[in-house]
Parts: sequence; C-alpha cells; structure tokens
Amino acid sequence: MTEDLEALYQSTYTSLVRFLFRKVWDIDRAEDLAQEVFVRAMRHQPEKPRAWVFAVAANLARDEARAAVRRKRHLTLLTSDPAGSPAPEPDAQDLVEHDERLASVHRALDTLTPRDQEVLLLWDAGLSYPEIALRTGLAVGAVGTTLARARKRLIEAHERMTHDRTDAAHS
Amino acid sequence: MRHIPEEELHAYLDQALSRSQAVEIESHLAGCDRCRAVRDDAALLRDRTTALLTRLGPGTIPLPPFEVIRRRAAVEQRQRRTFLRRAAWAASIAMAAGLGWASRRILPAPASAAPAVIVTAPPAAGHQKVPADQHLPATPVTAPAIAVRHPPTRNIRGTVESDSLRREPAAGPAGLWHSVSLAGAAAAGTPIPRVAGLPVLQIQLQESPEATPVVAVDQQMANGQTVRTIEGPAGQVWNLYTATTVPTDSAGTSTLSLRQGDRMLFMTARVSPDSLRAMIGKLLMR
Repeated sequence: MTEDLEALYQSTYTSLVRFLFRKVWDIDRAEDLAQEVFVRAMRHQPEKPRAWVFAVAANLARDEARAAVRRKRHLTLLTSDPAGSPAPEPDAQDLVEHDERLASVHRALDTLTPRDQEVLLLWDAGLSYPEIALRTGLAVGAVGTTLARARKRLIEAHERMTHDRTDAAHS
Repeated sequence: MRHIPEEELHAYLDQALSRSQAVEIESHLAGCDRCRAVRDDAALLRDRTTALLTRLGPGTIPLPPFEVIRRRAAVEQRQRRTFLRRAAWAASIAMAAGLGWASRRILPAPASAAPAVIVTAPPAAGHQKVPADQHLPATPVTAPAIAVRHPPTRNIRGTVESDSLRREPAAGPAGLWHSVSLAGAAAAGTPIPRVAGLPVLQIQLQESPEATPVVAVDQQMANGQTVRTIEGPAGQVWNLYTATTVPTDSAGTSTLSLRQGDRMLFMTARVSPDSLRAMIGKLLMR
C-alpha cells in the first residue's frame, strides 16, 4: 500500500504542486501543502488515492485562502524586531502582480466560475475525466462540456485583457 | 448525418473516450469537413489553454525523495500522541492555577502573602523525543513551571526587568497576571492569540479596569521550546515589548511584532526570524 503511495508520489507530486501553486500563488507554500497532502495520505490510505490527493489539496488551499483573509483583517502592519532582521517578504500575490504578462493569465483565470476553474486546473494537473468527475461531482459526460466552455472562456478573457491593455497603451 | 458535438471532440482530443467511440468519431471526421474544422479549432483552443496555464508557472519543481514524506508522517504522529497527553495535564494545571487566583481574590489576605500556585510539569514532557535529523537544537524538553503571579516575561529573559513588570499587586490591578484555561477564555469572549496546531501550555491575562486585558499565551513548539505570544492594547503591549526584548540575543531568540490600530501583538521564541514569521502566518485570534 505504501509502495503504491510512493509510486503515486513520484508520478503526481509535481502536478500537485503546480495545482496548489495556482491556488495559493506561493511556491514554498504549494510545496509544503503538497507534502502535507501525502503525509495525510499515508495516514488515511485512501481507496482512490489520485483523486483523493487532489481533493485534499483543494481543501487545504481553500483553508489557506480563508486564513489569509482573516490575517489581513486582523493585522495590517507587520514590523520585524529592532535588531534589524530582514523585512518581511512582500505578499506572494504582489510578486505575481509584478509580472504583467503573468498577471493577465491570473486575472483571466479568475473570471471563470469556480467550477470551470477547478475542472480546468484538474485537467491541467493530469487527471482523467473520470477522476475529475469524482472530484467535482460532475457526470463524466459533463466534464468534456465544462472543459470546452472553460477553455473558451479563459482564452476569450485573456484576449480581452491583452487587447484592453494595448488599447490603453495607444490612447 | 449527425455532426459531432464540440464537447465530444474535446473529450476525443483529451483521449477520454472509449476505443469504439474514438473509432466512430474518426470515421465521421474522415468524411466531414465541417467537423474537422471544429476539431482543429478545439485542438487549437486546447493547446493555447495549456500554453497559457504553463506560463502561470511555477517552472521546474524539485521532487524531494519520498523519505521526506515518511519522516514528516512519523514526526506528526509522535506530535499528535504527545499533544493528547499534554492537553490533558495542561487543562488540570490551568484549573489549579485558576483556583489559586480565585481564592486570592476572595480571601482578604495581605498582598505579600498572596498564594502563588506553582505546579511543576509532570515527566510526561520527557517522552517527546526530537529526531536528530530535524536539524533542531538538541535541548532537553523543559515545560515551564506555572506561577500565577509571574509576569509573563520572566521566562523569556531574567536579567532585565522594568518597574512595570516588578509591580506588586498592591500597586494596582494593571500589574496583576493570572492564568486562565482556553475554554474559560473562550467562554469569557477573550480572544486568545495562538499558533494553530501547537499545544497551549498556559494562558495568562493582565486585567486592566479601563481597557481589554493583555493576553500572554505560551505554546510548545515541536523542538520542545516555548513560543510566547502577547496581545493587547498597544500602549501596554509596547511597554512589555520594550522591557522584554533584547536587540541582540546570543541565545538566538527572535521577536516579531504586529500592530493594528490600538492593538499590538508580539511573538518571541528561540527560533530563526523566518520560523517565527511562518508561525505568525498560522496565528489564530479566537
């Protein structure tokens, strides 16, 4: 059983990190959460481990996002001690925003409905249609429909944003 | 002749159809220009999506050996067992301390003879062994003794004390600290700032008549050391902060402070500033 999990780890870890990164936008956090997912998988020994690890990853990423919102509400200013240790790193979000090209993809992805986004990211992480169906509760037949729509919307949204920016630059 | 729905072509391109379904589609495509065009559009859409998502990064992701997962799982299992044991006695200590505090308030004893309940940690703490491969300092686990009237700074630094910290109960309620249980604080609606996932060793409150209390929470980290979080009205917390933190500390103590409006919080522990920052990221306020 652990050997199965090890094989799954070898084949899925990087996809899982990529999947998580697109939710938490911080590579260190994504790697940490991905490892946490496999630690939990060792404990739970799920029956369908591939779909399971993505489901748990999605939940962890959601909790993380909620915690981040809570933190922002409570603590607006972060100062380090007067000993002069390095200033806290800027938000991962801010780093991402620096790269305008990347940000436009990020924003285009944000225009999708949560379900379309989820299906698209799961597919991109290498899950099969039945696995995506299991994870999202969609019928297997509906995965293709959702994916076709999600792809179209992502490309359209991205084109719209790139055009808007070009227009703005010319005006 | 029935044309192939677009979504079915997506499924075909994604190789999500059975062999017989795929053969059926291929034979139709061979004789239908219109469906071939739709298929080409779908393929283009699919490739552009992949290209866009790839651009989001991250680039190359290192794959740590599976041993990393195994080790982490083993450490977490040990921590969980220790946590349950510790939680049980921590609750009983908090109660004992709470009783001491209550009796002092009720009995008109002279301030100098106020009963200080001191409980020594049981040997249970010694069970927790930190694996050598964790790169943590190999210090023995020492759970702090709980003293009701301790100012919460005593454990952090014994050499420097300020007047505000040495204030006797007679000097006014602002100098008085008492321990509470997590459940008791929750029932009273007092927010208890703490790091998620770390066992709470003790919670102390400094009441003040004109403002909300200052809260000091001690939690045990995986290496057995204590991390202390202090939160309250900015003025009082600032006084504690300046009185207790040392700019350079040979023992490797880090302190981080946060401020929001008239509230201030600081955390101090014998860890690197980065580890402390990671812990602040896991701070719960309730």
